Amino acid sequence: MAVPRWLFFYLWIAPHALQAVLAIVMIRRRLLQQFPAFFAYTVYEVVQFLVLFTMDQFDSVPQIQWGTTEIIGRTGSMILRFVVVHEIFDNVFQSYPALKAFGGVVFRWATVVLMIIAVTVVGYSAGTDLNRFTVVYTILDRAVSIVQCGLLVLLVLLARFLSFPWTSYAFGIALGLGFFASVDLGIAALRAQYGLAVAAEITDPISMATYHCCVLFWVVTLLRPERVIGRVGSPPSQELEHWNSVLQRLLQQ
Amino acid sequence: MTITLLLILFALAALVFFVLGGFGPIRHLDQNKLSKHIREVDLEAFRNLVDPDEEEFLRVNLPPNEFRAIQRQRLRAALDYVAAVSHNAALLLHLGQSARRSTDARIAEAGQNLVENALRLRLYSALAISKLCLRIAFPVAVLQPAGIAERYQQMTEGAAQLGRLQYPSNGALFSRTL
Repeated sequence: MAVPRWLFFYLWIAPHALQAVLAIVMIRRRLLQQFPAFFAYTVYEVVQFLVLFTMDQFDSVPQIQWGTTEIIGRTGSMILRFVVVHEIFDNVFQSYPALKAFGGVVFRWATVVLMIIAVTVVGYSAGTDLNRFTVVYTILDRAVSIVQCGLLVLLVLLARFLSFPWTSYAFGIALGLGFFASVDLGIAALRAQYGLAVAAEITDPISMATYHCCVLFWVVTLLRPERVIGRVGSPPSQELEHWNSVLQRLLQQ
Repeated sequence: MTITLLLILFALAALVFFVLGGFGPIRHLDQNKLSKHIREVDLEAFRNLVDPDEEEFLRVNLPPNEFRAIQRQRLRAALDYVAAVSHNAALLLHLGQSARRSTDARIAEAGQNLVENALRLRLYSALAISKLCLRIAFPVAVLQPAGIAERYQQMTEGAAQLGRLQYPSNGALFSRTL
């Protein structure tokens, strides 16, 4: 099931063009200080694309060299995405001094637990590739996908439980990343089961399309002004009395 | 193959979760009707339910089977109270979140304090709920969800302070309440 060439090129070029736009939006909105890792990740993806695309245009570049560069580039992306997840945790908890330390502890422990789970899962699952390089890559790919997906699920769960306002840029970035991480995890599992080359025909277009959607979501999120929760309006006096009586009962019990 | 299937299922569940988390209905509370959503909590009754002396008295004076049955009932009741405290903490979190964005520095500070207290209490309640569930399973074990009542009182005091700052015209009413 090969996708048409034009669609493949569109899915390859468009998300990175959008990421260049995203980087500009971040500079214009002065979001660099708030999300330095996300900015670095965005710029890295654009640079990585430019390198790979340029290499692709030259017939003199052997396929193996292109493939190696791609895998090294993807590994860099994985590491940077991990840094972005850490940055989102920091960003979400930093406005709550009481929970600052809690956020750090949750991140560290969740990472350790998820890594143990990931190593166990990867250790028990099968692989078909014989190439040592691709075996290492698929193992790393699955392990990192499990950890990232798990961390983002935990973050969204915590945010829901603690009633954090679902309005900030950090959540937009987290949701986009979570969406991509979950699809990437499924794809990593398929790659490990059927081999990089066999799965590539099906999984690559899905992965690229998902990434396109995520980047589009990030651009839309960062282009919109950050929603600020309005002030509490004065409740009608009878509501206030009711509220007072509820508090009174609670405190006098 | 089983692990691959499990991973794909987890990935699908996470995908649905993120889509619902981002685009699903977000609960917006009408703050003017906040009091209607507040659940009553009898702090004294709750303290009594988790009082170690009371528990010890029952343990000494009742046959083991009867003690376990009664203790389970007491713990279920305590669980209901903690759930109500957690629910109220979530509501007051909404109130505090809005207040801490106020242009009035005093209201913003009171809102921030309320948010911090409510956040701590919400986390603490989650811990207490898990402890109580464990104790319902093993009623003889000694695990006290101590501190909930004190923290709840601290939080409601914070809410009252915020109320006094936001609605000074009703100051007398608030003073009487708190």
